[in-house]
Amino acid sequence: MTLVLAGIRKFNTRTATLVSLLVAVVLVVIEFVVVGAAYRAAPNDPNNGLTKDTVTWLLTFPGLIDAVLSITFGFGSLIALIYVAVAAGSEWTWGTLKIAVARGESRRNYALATFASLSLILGAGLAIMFLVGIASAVAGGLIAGLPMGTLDGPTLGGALAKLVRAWIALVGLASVAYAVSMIAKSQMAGVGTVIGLFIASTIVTLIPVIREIFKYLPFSTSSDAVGFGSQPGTSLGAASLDPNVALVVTIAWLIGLLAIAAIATERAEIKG
Amino acid sequence: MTASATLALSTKDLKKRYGSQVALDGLNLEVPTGIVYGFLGPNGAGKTTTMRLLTGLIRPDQGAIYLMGESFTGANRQLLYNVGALIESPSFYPHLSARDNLRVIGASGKAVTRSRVEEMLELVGLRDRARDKVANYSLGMRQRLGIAVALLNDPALLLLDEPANGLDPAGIVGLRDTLKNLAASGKTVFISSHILPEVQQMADIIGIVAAGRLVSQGPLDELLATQAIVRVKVTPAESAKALELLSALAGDGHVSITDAGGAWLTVRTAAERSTEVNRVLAQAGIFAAGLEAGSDLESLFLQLTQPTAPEQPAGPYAGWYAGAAR
Repeated sequence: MTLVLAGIRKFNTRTATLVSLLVAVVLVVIEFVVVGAAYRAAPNDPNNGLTKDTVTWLLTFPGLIDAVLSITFGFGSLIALIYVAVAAGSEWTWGTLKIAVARGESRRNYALATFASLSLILGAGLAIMFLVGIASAVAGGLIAGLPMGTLDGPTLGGALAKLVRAWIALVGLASVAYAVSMIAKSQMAGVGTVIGLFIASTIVTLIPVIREIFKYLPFSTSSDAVGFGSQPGTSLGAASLDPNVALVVTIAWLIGLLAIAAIATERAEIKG
Repeated sequence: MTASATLALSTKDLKKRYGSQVALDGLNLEVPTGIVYGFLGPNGAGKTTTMRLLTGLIRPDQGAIYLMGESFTGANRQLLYNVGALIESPSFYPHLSARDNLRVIGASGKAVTRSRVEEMLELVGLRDRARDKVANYSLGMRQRLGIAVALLNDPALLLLDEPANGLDPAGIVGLRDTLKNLAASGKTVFISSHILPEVQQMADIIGIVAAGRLVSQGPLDELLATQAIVRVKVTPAESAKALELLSALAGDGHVSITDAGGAWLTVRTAAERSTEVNRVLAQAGIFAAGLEAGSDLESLFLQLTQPTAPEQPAGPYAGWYAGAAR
């Protein structure tokens, strides 16, 4: 626990943490405000694709909960991947892992505690993005001239449950970046690899055979695990796997990737 | 398996390779408790590899390490709770202050109290700058902080790699006093350094490593006494004759030409025999242009780590080349 708290202390004051959160929050705010403004300027314009149904789902309760979660997760996952890859790689490049090991700390404990700290940071970031997203969507709805809709108890409860699932999914996805950086012992290698994987994950879905395999890989299962509601009558946000199955697969990937990261750290020769 | 309880640190037939490169080739160290041990060697001799092995950062291919008499295998990492280390350049979180760095680093390994953190900041003279980000620290301040990290656990054994690197003169004097005091209080200090005069002032025992092997180890005074030399400079034309005369005086194999121009000859003999060396040459009509006698650590180091004088290119880089070849 001491290591986890120390990890939070070292990560939460880092410029990269604040910049990553700021970028993610700004992207979310822009998304909803722009949609609201575009709809207001040209309601039901077939050229911008913003039909009343779509905009209502995006900017009014209860639909906006899923919309905010989906967009928050979409932006947040790429930023989280890069952030975690950088944070993990810096333990090697800064030589701080070296100090901990030379002080007699267990390499495995250090690797797992560092990831636990990052997971808590990601959770806080996700919660902030979600709250800002809700506020932005409401603001976007007001700009669009739409009524807010209704937010009842079950919807709110469902939203919190989905937020927790989104956090687990985000942590599962981040474990890919963490494992890559810990194996590569480098920030740049970690960042480069996860960006490559992220881009590849969008390309492979175009090929049916690969898509069938890909749906069980972390990039796909993590988003399916959240159980985003899709816009009625469209495939927007539609999942490839049942959310519960996807959640189990995501957790399995998380455990497996953390085991790989821990073993890689345990066996590594620490130089530099 | 245990080693002698009077040894704070020892290694037995320690070997390590990086691919085809042999870094250590059967290193046998013996570091008694309560002394300052100077670990010397030219670049690439295996000093840093030894430090990494002693702190479990890398694993040996063969051989054994004993810390405070106990076999250190990596599985019993808790032995390192009693070891403080500064290996290569000090490593920190640049966005954190010195105080926060010590607290975060102190969360790993043996638990460290807040008062100990403050005590170490005071000891290394960083109390007034403890709230500044380490990113804004000078090299010397980072080095001081590195020493604070090494001392954080109040270790029985201190492993320091070039500890005086970047320190100002006052810092070097302070470091020297601190390390001597630590040794006097029963702790063991193991210093790897290139700053030979510094080591000469601090070390009780030295070990010299070359090409991954220990070429000499023992109390500094004894080693210097056995390695005393007299150096004499003659003209290159007279060097062969001088070599012959001095070999007759000191014995075959005790005289060597130690520079490319053939003008400096090194005679392995007591410093007191320098007048005798001068007289023998003068009687043969060879008048020394320079005469040095002594048993300094640098001479010892060079003799032990440079068994044969390499061929050197002429020109301004001749000396550097010789150093690099060693």
